[in-house]
Amino acid sequence: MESLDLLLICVSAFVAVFCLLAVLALVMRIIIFVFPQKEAAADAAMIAAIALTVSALYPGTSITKVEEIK
Amino acid sequence: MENFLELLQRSGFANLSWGNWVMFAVGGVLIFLAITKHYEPLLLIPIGFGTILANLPLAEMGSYGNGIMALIYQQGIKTELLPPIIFLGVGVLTDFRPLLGRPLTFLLGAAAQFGIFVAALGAAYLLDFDFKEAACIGIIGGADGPTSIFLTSQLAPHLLGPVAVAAYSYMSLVPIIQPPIMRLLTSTRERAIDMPQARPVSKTAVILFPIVTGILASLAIPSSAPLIGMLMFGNLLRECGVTERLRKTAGGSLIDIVTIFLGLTVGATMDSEHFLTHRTLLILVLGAVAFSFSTAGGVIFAKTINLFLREGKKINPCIGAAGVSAVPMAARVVQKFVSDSTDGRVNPLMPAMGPNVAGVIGSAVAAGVFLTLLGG
Repeated sequence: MESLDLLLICVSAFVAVFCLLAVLALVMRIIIFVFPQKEAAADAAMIAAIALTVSALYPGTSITKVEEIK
Repeated sequence: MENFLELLQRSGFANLSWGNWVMFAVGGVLIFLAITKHYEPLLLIPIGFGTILANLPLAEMGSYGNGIMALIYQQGIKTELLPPIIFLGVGVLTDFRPLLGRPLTFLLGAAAQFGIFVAALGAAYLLDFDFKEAACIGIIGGADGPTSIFLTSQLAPHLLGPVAVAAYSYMSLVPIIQPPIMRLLTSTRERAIDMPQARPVSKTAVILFPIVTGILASLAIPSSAPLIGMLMFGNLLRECGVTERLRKTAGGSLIDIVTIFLGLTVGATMDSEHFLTHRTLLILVLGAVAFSFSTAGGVIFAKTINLFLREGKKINPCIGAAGVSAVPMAARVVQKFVSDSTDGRVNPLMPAMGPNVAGVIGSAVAAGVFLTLLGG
């Protein structure tokens, strides 16, 4: 009977850990959805450097968009 | 001459037992491992020297006596003071972004607590430890020293020495224990799964995380609040960006001071009378069992999750092994193992950090549940 008690305690504890972390995962998913990471503004100096390099290589070309792909 | 003889009789030399010598050797081995192998040196050095101090006859330097160590033990460990302060520092030093960027990995941190329960049941069913002792032995599988000390000081203080030594020893043996289990449970193809970068997390989400987690976890399992609450407070100090001085203190001087007291006092619980029993050996064996099953639990659960994920979204099952706390060593071990297995093509350090830090929360919650159900 005693052993059965410990078995129940262990099962309860494992389920509690799982449920709590699952709830935290869900809540954080919602928070991240509600407060998404804003796109960082492009670095003006970097855009100028890219534009300068490209126009030197391909005269007359203009840069309209710079996108970083991770 | 008579006085001299009396002085000799009252000296420690005259009262040394073989048990003291054995414990000097144990303390020496811990110090040796810390210095030469760099196994958790910040803890094993104080624990090793505390062990030596506790075994000096008539010196009253043991945690169970009446001297200075007993004072720190009574006021710092029995009162649950020191482990939560360590957690405060851990919170400052932990970056939860890898976890927040991939919330699914919260579940891996839960699955990797499996060994706690296997070892607890083994200790009670097979080896005749009582429930409280079994729970303290099981918690070694959480691979979290402060949590093990926190729980054991409440439920089975007489086992504090062996449990703490087992917890910290196995934490430092992660690079030896985990790779064979990962190799056994994963295929070459699974190890080669390259996970995409986690989504970036906003500053607001990072600040809300410790607040929300602190509230939810403490409401669900109030007895885990000293650990989770302090962990999350420390993390808030780190992330809020306006408490630089507090962050530096909690993550630097404070955690160092408390580590010294905690390590020395835990070491000083290891006097020969309490440590040199067959039960210590059993605890060390059960600790290894707990650790191995926790590792396996994390990996197997990651494989199970993959059954439900479409191609391109699957996770590398090895990161499940990092769900045992041992931050950041378990994540580094996973990264090295996967990198070695794929000739350096796959390096899942950041993906492994997610379950790794989730494991800290998971083991603290497990300790809280044990304390709630067995502490009364």
